[in-house]
Amino acid sequence: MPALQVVSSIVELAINTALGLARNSDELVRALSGKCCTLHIQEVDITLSLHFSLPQKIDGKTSSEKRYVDVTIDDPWTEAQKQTILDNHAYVSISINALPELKKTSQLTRLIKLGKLDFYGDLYLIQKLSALFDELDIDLAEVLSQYIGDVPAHWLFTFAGSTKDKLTKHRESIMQALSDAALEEKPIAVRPIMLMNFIDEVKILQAGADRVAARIEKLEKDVN
Amino acid sequence: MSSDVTSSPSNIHESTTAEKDLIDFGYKQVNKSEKVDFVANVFHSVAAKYDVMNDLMSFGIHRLWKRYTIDCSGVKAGQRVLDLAGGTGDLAAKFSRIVGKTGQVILADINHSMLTVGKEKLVNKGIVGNLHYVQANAEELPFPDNHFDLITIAFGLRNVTDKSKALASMFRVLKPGGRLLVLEFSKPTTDALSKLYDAYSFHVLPKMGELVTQDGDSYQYLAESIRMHPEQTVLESMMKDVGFEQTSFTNMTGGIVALHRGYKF
Repeated sequence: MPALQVVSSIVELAINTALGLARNSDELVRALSGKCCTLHIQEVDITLSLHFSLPQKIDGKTSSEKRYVDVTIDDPWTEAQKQTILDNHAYVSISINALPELKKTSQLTRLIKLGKLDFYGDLYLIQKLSALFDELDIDLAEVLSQYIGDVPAHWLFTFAGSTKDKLTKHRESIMQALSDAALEEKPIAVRPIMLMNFIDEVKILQAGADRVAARIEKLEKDVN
Repeated sequence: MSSDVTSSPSNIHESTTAEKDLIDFGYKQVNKSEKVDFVANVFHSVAAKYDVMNDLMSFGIHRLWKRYTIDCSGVKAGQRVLDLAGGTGDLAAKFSRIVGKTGQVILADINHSMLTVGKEKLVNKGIVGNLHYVQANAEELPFPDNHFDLITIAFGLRNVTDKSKALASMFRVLKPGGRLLVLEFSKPTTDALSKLYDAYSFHVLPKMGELVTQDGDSYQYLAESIRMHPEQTVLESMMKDVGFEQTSFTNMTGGIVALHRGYKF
């Protein structure tokens, strides 16, 4: 089975789903429509091309399938390909660790200077791609309300928010209790002052041992 | 993956049947002039449920085979693509978005029912503008010489009456530097898989077809036509014979399907 095609399917589905949920996807994709951004992920040596298009409207209605991007897997690009890149195309070779930084347009120049990003083609396209992932406006409550209704969606998100707050507070109090127990009630952990005292005692012991060694050495010389 | 095979049992088989003016239709021998109608009837019968059956029969893997084909196409914005025997337009849809407004995609199929289903599906998906539909016989393509940057034929070549003639016709309409991609069922690479595949295609497929499309015979034909289709190396040599260069093939899912590539220089 073509395994890489499974990867590109998942990437394509994830991006299209995110763009389908966002309120401002048409606006963000418009600048990229009809253009292509090729990303080479250095560590895994995979080259993914993102071909952007805006969903067509037929008789004023958006089509049944909201697809903004088609993802293909390319062979590794040759130097000749990079040098003769088309106007509506951008090529970026990037480390997997630097991928999240691609979201920040302001970081692009820094990444290029650091050598974490190898770039050919239209920089404007990369800036727009960066903006696309950074500025996506997804209102999850609104998305959920389309499936379960406004009131349950509002209730669910309020409940999720308060649960998250409670869990955060609960986690903090548990961590504090464990810390206190470890130090005070069941002294399985060493307090900093005890550690410093121990270090001082070791130093004194070491000085004593050094003195004894020096004395033994002197006695040996006297005997000889 | 390339091979230097110059003759094969299938080639010999085709030449002997040609003498009698008979050709394979699955395991049956039919008159050459009748095969087009027989194949047309098969696809007319299954057109409405074609996509559903493809997903069911291949467990959805046909999408990955087609995706691999698109990945190997190297197609770019502004290019001209011919999707032959394009059926319900799985490949054409993606090519249409990739080549963009400045490019052009022709979805061609000999079968009017398949073309109608394909057109309806693609229009509903909003794929319009650079996509055109042509009812055409692959053996006599109604296009000028040196016209397309890319030609694809996915799961269509085995239904063509004269495969060599069709390949020659594709070679004619392809631009110098253009490439042909043939995605087709082929021969499994191991005996164990071959036996399993035979059992599945001759015992499960027709029943599945009967259940979903009320037409088990068409799926019996599908299984038989796959067995009669030239295997990997034979098809590659057929491509070389009509002029394609740098030919190669890639087996997928243990050789159940193979993607053949050839260039015109």
